[in-house]
Amino acid sequence: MDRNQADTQVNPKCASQKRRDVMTFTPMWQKVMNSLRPCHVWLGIDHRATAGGSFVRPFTLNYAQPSGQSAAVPPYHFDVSLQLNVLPDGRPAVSDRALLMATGTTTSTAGSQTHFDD
Amino acid sequence: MTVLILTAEQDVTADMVVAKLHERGVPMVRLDPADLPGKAVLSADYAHGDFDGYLSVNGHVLSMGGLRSVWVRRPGEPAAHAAEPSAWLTAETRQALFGMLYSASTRWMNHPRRAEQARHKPWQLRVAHSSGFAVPPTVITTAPRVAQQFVQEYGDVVVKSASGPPPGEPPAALPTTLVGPDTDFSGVAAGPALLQRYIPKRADIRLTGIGTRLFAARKAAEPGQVDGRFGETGNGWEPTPVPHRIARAVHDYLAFTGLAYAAFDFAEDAEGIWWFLECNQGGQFGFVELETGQPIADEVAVWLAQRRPGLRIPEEH
Ligand SMILES: Nc1ncnc2c1ncn2[C@@H]1O[C@H](COP(=O)(O)OP(=O)(O)O)[C@@H](O)[C@H]1O
Ligand SMILES: [Mg+2]
Repeated sequence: MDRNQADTQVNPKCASQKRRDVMTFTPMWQKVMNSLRPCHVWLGIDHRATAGGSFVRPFTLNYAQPSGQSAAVPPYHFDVSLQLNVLPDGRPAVSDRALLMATGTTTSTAGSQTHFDD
Repeated sequence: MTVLILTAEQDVTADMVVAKLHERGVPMVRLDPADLPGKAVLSADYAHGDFDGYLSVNGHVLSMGGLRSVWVRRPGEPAAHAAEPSAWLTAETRQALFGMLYSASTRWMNHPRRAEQARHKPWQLRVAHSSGFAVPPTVITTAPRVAQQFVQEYGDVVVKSASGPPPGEPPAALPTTLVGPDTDFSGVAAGPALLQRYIPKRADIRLTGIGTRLFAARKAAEPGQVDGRFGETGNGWEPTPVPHRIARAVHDYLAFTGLAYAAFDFAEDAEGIWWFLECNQGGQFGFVELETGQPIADEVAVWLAQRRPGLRIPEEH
């Protein structure tokens, strides 16, 4: 396991300097970047990608796809007295394992879809 | 003493815990912050050097003096169900609700401050590394050249989102995907890319930690499979023992982050090493419990019902 530990760190020498990239929009930009030359090179700063103001799609979005999950109306409703969902016959929804398995809210993919920290 | 659960009404995973609290005879109030103001009513007074607060919803009443614990599950945005919702009304309502809850002396699963920081994937990798987990080489960058170099260096590399799929209709998914060496990386300048070395894996592991109790589940992967959630393989989740050094690392991770609940994802390689992928502070567990029979909901209920703070997780105020 330890063999990978060094790999997880991204160029520690530049770590404290990287933050200074936020100065890109200050008049000091050129000076700052020159003083950081080794880091500058390592970071591969390349403004051509956004030059001309044309829209470039964020890289990660190229991998998004329709989830294919339909917003089906669940066959249960919230019981305000019990404070949980019940089936039409009054039994708690959690007593129906098959229903839970089919209900998106308990599955990992549905969680990712509706909640950012599934 | 009453347990407060903050979650949406449709959240049937929360129902699994509510049912266990009922079985144990533990009083609880379930509130969706979206229903405040409106269905739910709140009052907190700060006078004569004293504080008390009350919350009522659907006829259930909770006083801050009697608050045992708070479970932040899948809460809606405060005031989201108001007649005229607005960002301002949400901010005002958040002040009223969380200002009151923070004023009470209670235990949190998880404290919003801890949760907020714990959601940051790059920080997770750092904490995982110092907790003793194996962490795959990873880069997050807005520099196309760095992304390209990373792929050249490591060969098989996956891309994934840091925060989840983009919201919107129809719902989108963002599966972890292999990127090839011929990929056009120019889009990296338009949005951070999180790239990670692909772990050729025998299985995906989901480990759920509640206080000091750990439940691990394993799902065998097909050769070359990338995102374990996509593509039908016929393999299901099965209980699996937690190796000692993993348990130690999990406890260190939870102690450092101050989380009372967390769901970890690992990739198990051919040598049996569990590679840390991420730690979801509010991760789903219903699917694990249903497939493995592991009593996670009951363990959450036990944690929430405790009167004293857990041994390892510091009490949050
Ligand atoms: N480096 C990796 N190597 C192999 N599989 C991976 C890797 N990273 C992610 N995966 C697969 O993709 C799934 C989702 O990735 P994860 O890091 O858990 O992010 P999220 O769940 O937030 O999308 C994992 O559960 C695993 O099946
Ligand atoms: Mg995951």
